[in-house]
Amino acid sequence: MIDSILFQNSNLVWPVTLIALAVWAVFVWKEWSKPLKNRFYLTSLISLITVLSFVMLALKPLSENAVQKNTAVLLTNGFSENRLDSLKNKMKGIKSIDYQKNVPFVEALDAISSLFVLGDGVQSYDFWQFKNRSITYLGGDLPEGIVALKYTKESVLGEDLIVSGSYHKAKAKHRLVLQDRNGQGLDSIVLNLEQTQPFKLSIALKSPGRFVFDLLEKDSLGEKISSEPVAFKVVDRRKLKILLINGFPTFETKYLKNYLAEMGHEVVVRSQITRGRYKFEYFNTEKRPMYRLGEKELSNFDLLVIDATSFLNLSLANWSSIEKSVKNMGLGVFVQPEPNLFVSASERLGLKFERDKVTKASWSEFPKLTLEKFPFQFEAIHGLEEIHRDLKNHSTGYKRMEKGRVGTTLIQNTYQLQLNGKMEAYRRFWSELINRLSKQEELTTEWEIEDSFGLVNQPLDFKLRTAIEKPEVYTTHESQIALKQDVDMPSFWSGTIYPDRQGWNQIRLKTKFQDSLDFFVLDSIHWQTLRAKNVQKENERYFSGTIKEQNKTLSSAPIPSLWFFLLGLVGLGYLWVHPKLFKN
Amino acid sequence: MSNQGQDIIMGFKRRWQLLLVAEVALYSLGLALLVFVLSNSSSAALCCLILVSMLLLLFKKPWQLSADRVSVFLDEELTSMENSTGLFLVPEAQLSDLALLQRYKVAQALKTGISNLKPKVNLTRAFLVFLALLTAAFLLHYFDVFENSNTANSNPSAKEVIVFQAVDSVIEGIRPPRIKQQMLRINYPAYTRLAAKTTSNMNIKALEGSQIYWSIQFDSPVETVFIEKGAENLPLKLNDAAYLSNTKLLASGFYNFKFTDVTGASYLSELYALEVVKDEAPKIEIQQLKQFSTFDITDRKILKFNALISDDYGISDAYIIATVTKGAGEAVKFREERLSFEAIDTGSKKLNLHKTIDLDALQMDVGDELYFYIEAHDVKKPKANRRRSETFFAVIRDTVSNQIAVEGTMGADLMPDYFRSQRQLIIDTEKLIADRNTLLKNEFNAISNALGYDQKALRLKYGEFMGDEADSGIKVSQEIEFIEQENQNDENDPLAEYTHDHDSDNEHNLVDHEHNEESLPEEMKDPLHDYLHNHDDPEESTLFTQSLKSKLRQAMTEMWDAELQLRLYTPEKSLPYQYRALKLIQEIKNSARIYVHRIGFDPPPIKEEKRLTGAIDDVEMLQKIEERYQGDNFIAMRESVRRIAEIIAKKRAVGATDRKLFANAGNELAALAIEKPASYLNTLQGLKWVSEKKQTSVQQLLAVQSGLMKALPKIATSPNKERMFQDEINTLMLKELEIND
Repeated sequence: MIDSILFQNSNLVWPVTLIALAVWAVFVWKEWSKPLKNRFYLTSLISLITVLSFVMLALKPLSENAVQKNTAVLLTNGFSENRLDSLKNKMKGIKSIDYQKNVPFVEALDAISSLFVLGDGVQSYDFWQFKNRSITYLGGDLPEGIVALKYTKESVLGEDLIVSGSYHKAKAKHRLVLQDRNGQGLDSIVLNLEQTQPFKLSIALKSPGRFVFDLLEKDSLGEKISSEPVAFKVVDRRKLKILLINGFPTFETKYLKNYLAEMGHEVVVRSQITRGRYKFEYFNTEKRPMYRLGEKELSNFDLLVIDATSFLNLSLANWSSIEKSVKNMGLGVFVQPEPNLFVSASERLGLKFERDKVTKASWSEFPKLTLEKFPFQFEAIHGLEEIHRDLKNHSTGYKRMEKGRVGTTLIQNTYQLQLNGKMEAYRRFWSELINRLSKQEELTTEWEIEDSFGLVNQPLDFKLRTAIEKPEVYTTHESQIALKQDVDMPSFWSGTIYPDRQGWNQIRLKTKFQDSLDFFVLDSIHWQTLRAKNVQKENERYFSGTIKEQNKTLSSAPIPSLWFFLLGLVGLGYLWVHPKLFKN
Repeated sequence: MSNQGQDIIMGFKRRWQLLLVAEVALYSLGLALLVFVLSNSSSAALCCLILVSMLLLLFKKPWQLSADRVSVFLDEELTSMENSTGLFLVPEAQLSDLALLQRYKVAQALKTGISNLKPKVNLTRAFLVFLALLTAAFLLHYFDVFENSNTANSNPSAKEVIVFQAVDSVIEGIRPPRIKQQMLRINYPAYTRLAAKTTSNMNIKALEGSQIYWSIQFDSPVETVFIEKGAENLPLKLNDAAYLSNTKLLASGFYNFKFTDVTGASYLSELYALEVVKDEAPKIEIQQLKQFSTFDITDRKILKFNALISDDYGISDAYIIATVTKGAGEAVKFREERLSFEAIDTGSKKLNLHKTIDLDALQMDVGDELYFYIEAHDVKKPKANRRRSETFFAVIRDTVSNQIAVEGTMGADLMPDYFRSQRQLIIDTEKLIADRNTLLKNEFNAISNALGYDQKALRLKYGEFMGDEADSGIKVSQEIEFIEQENQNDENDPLAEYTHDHDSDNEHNLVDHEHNEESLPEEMKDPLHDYLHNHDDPEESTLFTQSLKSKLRQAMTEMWDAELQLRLYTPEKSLPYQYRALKLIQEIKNSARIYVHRIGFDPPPIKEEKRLTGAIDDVEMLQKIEERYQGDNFIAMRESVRRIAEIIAKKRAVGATDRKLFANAGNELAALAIEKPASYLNTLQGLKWVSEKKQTSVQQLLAVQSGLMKALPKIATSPNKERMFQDEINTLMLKELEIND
């Protein structure tokens, strides 16, 4: 315990101790020589205390109870006055610091032993200043307005843009309206009085390009309350190359090939007429007979659709080239189901099935629809991934084979959806299936922006994955941005930009491919509620991680010397009065 | 006291004045309303209101109404006042004692008299006039009397003036040419017999095939003027200071004017709609006729009806196409005839035609059917519109085929009651029970006994099928024979019909009746003798299976009991037995029916290796190339949307290539807009501007973009090639997964 006592003037410990001992020795000797020996011990003790008091005056010991005095509260955007008041009530003399974005205040923090953060919190780019400090994040109230937002920043033409999120503390009969910049309302929803309610708006995307729409809140009279931009990009569809191999013609294939051909995909259909004789149909592509399924031939295609019988009867040579194409080049294989496929338990497919005697299936996306199904279900093996889902089970699934995927479905006779006029359901079914299985185009670069909202003149981190050896990233003003390479992954880079104007911005790689990233930069008045909520979340996450071990080392305030002085004074007084009182 | 009298007079005066004002207000309001309806302008109505009320007020002068005038009036009206009303208006001090006394005397009379008195204002008349004016205004408005009075006006109202906007920015100081006169003449096709219409409104809505003439005059010379209609340009020719052009209206669309002035600057007008109205086919309504009429051969076979035919421009012809069918089944024959209406007033818009069709005149016999419809043509040229009415039917009922059947069921009249069916027996028994009160006792007993006899005859008849001996004491067969001999001349043996039709419908399946009946009279032999293989054992000699046999036996037992009860003159008790017997007989009939199971053809599966194992040298490969993708019909529209977003984002100016793109988009949109002009016209207009004008505002571009996005049809869901970044780590992991699987 003793060695844990610290002194402010620790350099004086030894000289002061020696002097004190000498002084005390003189006292003891003086007492010894006196006739009043009966009080010798008491007097010696008191003199010791007196001497020690003066020692303490000189050395200034530090004590832990001084910690409270160095507590401060950091006031960030949206803090509540009530909380500040009650905090001040509990901790007298607590200092308050106003938070300023992107301004270093490490020195101010160093003088503080513990810090409370009130309000939404600090920006993520300021977190470094709070590293290894004792911080309690008290947070702020959840603001009113849109506190969560989700939409696809880059959609493919023909998809719907779905803007979903949640609204906190809505007022009755207020509406959220998604409209274009011309003020044309496209979708809207009426809010109710729920505390936090989800909303979902959707619009059909009909043209490629970069767009900015607005999400408006209107009151019951149609007056605009707020307007926030929703920026998104629509890219054109890319055509697929699909090979269909059938032992015999089926309705399923007929309708599928017609659908794909009408959508503009390149489709080659090979149906067997008899042994060694085929019927070839080429849609939207040139003549290119496929007698053998070699790796070279398959490399032209993104997806192979093959009926189960043909799949199971593939020659070893053909199968091995298909397998290689799947593994190395990412070819997708969809096996059109037949009962023998489920029974055969073929190693080629890599999927396993078990009987379930259920012949009807629903589909989570179109709950009212009933689909015909083979009386089998997927066995839950490792690596099985779903494409379509029944209420409980997978109805279409696949398994990865290195780069490619091989899958099948339990659903049969989907062409009946078309006959029943349910074109949209049919299209969605096959689009999802084909999208998931088909070969994916390999990108040379992939950009990623962490923060969903870029603001003018505020740092925005981005990540870049690229196969290029030494990538160079430039802004539109031709200024280069410094990149940091990941230690473990050489293809992974990161950087920070400070966008200088609102609206669409672009950074690009200086390569022959002209890879670029489009991102939207907001004015700081937009999406305030949502950003506040995001900051709150980030702060909660960040500060819940900081440990409060530092408490003790930070507790080093000197004990007020007045106490030692008084004690010394009393001791001296006694020593002065004592001989006079007991003279005789 | 004195004041009170004066107050009453002053109050009366105020009332009078008020009524005068009300009268004026009623007159002027009524007139103003009428003017409003006539002129359709509120300012004119307001002017009229003020003017009339001023005049009337000046004439009536309600402010000049003096207390003296009122007192004179009161003196005249109220005799009790004794001409002393004036006294109230004179101050008390100036009155003599006598006058005071008189005043005091008449004060009371004034008080009572005034309440029944009305000022001399004819408010009722004013109110009536107001009502009359109001009604007139309403009627005029309701029947739109003045609606078309302005159509022939060639001086355009402010709204209709063609507004030109300069495509380029105009040089300062040069005044652009303006429209002096604009005129549009629509010549309707000759057959419509409509007068040509002249208007200044450039939006055209006219009948297909109309000839359109434009005439435009400018106040200063211009270089060229033409009409832009879709992708084609129609130049206007200068003739006598006016620019003229004409075209034949064939398809809906849009057009606009464009001209260049002498300095070379070009100007563009707004878009105008070109709407084609199709001539409608005549409408036919047939009255007083049921869709399906039937006649008996004895009826007067006459169809009478009214046909109401109407058309928007005139009917040229109407006639009836009648088809008579004779015979039935494969022997059916058709005969078509064209019947005309008596007199058709060609060219009239509405025809009410009467027609009487006599089926006899069409030489229709029993069982023949007549189908007919009316066809009408309108006057449209070159190719008339035609319309058919619904088809109506008339049938002469063929009762002959039914008659045979009827005779069969009514056999009781012609034949003895022996072979009454069980059902008939039940009916007769029930009738007997019902008639019990009206019959004498022995009559009743006799009928009951007779019914018992019938029951026996029936039982014996069924007994024959059981292989029972036919000669069981009652010579039923003999009597049948007798009847048969009577009817021998008939080709159709009524007895045969009879026995077939009833209880034993399926007997022909079991027994060869022809043979049976033929042989009966000759030999009196067992009708089943041909089928009985084992005469020794009567139990074996039946045609029925074991269960049927037992059922039949059961039925016969029931018949026995029924007969017994009938013979005991207790028909009520016999009824339950009869019902049971009937039920059993029905069951037997049903069970003996033969059903043939239909069998499909199930070919055996063919193995792939066996299939076409013969020579396949002639089997040829088939190669088919097809370009199924239709392409995008709206590619320029989509590209325009994208391009506008880019122009706005990058703050670029609209370039020449952009303008060309927008023009193409305009052509694509025009194709859509023809169907829904109202929703796309603004966008089309906007596209026109941005594709022609040098300067465009962001707001204009946004409006065009928004309109295009709204107009573009939704794209069908389709698969898409997805993109993905693959680096070594990913690839390594996928490989590793594969190994550990």
